[in-house]
Amino acid sequence: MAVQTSAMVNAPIRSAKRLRVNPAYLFLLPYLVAMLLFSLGPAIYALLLMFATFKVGRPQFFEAGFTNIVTALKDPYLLPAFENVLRFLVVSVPFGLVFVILLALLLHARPNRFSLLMRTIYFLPGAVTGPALVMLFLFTFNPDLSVFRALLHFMGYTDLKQVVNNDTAPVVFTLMGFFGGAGGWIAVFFGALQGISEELIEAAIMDGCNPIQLAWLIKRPLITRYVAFMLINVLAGNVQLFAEPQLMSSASATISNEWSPNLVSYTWAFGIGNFGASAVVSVLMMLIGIVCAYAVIRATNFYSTEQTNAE
Amino acid sequence: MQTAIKPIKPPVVNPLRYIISRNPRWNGMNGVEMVGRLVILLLFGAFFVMPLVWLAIAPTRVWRDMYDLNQSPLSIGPLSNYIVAWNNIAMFGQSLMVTWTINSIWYTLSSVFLSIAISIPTGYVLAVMKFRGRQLVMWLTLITMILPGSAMVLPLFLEMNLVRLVNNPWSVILPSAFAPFGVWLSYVYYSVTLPKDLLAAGKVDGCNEWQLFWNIGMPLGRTIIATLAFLTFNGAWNNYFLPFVMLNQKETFNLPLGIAALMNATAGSPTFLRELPINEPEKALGGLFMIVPVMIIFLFAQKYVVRGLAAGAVKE
Repeated sequence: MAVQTSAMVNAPIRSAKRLRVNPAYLFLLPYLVAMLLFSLGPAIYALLLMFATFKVGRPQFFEAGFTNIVTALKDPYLLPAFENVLRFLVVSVPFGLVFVILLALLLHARPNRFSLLMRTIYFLPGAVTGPALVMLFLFTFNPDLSVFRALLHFMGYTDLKQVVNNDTAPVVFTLMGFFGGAGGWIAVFFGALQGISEELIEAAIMDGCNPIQLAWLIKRPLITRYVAFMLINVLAGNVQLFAEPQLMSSASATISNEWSPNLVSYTWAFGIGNFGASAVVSVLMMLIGIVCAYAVIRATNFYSTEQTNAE
Repeated sequence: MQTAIKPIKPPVVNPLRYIISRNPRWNGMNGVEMVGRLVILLLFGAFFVMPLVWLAIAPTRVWRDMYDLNQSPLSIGPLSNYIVAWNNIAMFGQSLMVTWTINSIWYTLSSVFLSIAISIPTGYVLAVMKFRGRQLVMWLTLITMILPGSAMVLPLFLEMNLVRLVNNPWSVILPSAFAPFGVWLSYVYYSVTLPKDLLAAGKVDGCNEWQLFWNIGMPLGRTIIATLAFLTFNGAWNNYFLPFVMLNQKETFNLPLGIAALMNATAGSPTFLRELPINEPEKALGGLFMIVPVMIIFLFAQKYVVRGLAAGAVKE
């Protein structure tokens, strides 16, 4: 303090100006450090590791040339893993969108206590994720144990492996994801629908809209913004499957232990000990993730960084 | 327009009318639509609720009975079997289940505290202050938000390995300090809700930037803090991939890792639990350990979940 005061007496304006750091940077510092350490840092590290060897336990950067990339891309499990995720997305995204919107519209067709109760019932399974979700569905898909035993038997299933295997995996993971994730989105859409003005709905009814036309022509367009947002989140979440196939594989041996790219990457690192090849798969997933998210963001013009302050 | 007002018709006797004609008491739906709506809603309701009911009663049963096709999948056994299942679970190690629960609680609470302490001021600054590089920070936030989190897990492992934090709980807690989505949400929240005049008034009264944040930004940010707390809690409580890679000593496991170990116990894989009486009721009880606390929070925090999910979409 004393030093500062004397300096300010000597050169009052200049040094005061030079010493002043915009406090915004102090606020931001912890965030930027965390970003560097836990996101950009690992991403850059992964880029470096693609070209590194691990001869003496420590990474030898730029020793490997392109051998890691060739090794990883030649892996017979890599392409099928991406195909698996793609097949899963083709099933899960339309299924999720259609039924989330349908249920939200049906609940809102007559918003009363029953609707609110059902909304809560759809919502509660959101508490079940990861290993608990896998466990629950290993039971639910097991024709001997399942609470839907009668239905599974009726459909001709007698064994868990008939219901859960590499071929059915996209449907299995879709149902699991829907069970755990749909309720939250239904509640979001329901909330958005409640924001639609009474006058608009009354006017539409006056004009002779029946409930189905009302839902499709008036309500649905007003929630498309939320649909785009859901799409971004669901895509990002679904590409990253790890816990579900990994646990299905280890706890029931129904699904391949290299089902998803994350599992392939994991096997390279911890099964085989080739961190370079593992990094290649990680970088590949990052690239695909970025490209997909960028495409969705551009297509929906979702985020704009220039903020106009709402008065 | 006198013709627009129609007299209310007396109740129609013919039941067919109920099926086809639109009933104002059913929000204009006719009988077919009304019944169809109920059937669809209830069918989906069964899909969502039945597995949970099954899970809640599973620990009351004996595992052999559960495979008995003559018994209903929903038959309930004596409640005391809950204790039997708990004792069976307690047989592995020194009550590992308790250790895992305690671990889960402190990993989760630290993660929540850390991510909020960093995200909220950052979002606030991005929303209310002008400085060089603001656009850059916004873009970096969006880009890192897009980076698939699970693709970062293995590079993160190698990084933690460099600083010898592997097998240390901090390797799981520290990464939650970086929450770009939380920053984005609080940025949106503050830029929409914080009145600029209030900040200007605070400045006139002699508040510095820190005091402005502490006295105005924080109290007005209670909603977004609660929302972020919920989202981070949920993410950290259920975190599986990161701890799976970072922690390999069973004393440091969180509940998800513990449940996974339980599941593998009788799956024929060589784990430390293999010889123990861990069957369906015990696994179900373990699952309930992980689910029930979150479900209770879900019941009470429904509006925060909804707000949290929707918040990213409300910016006009």
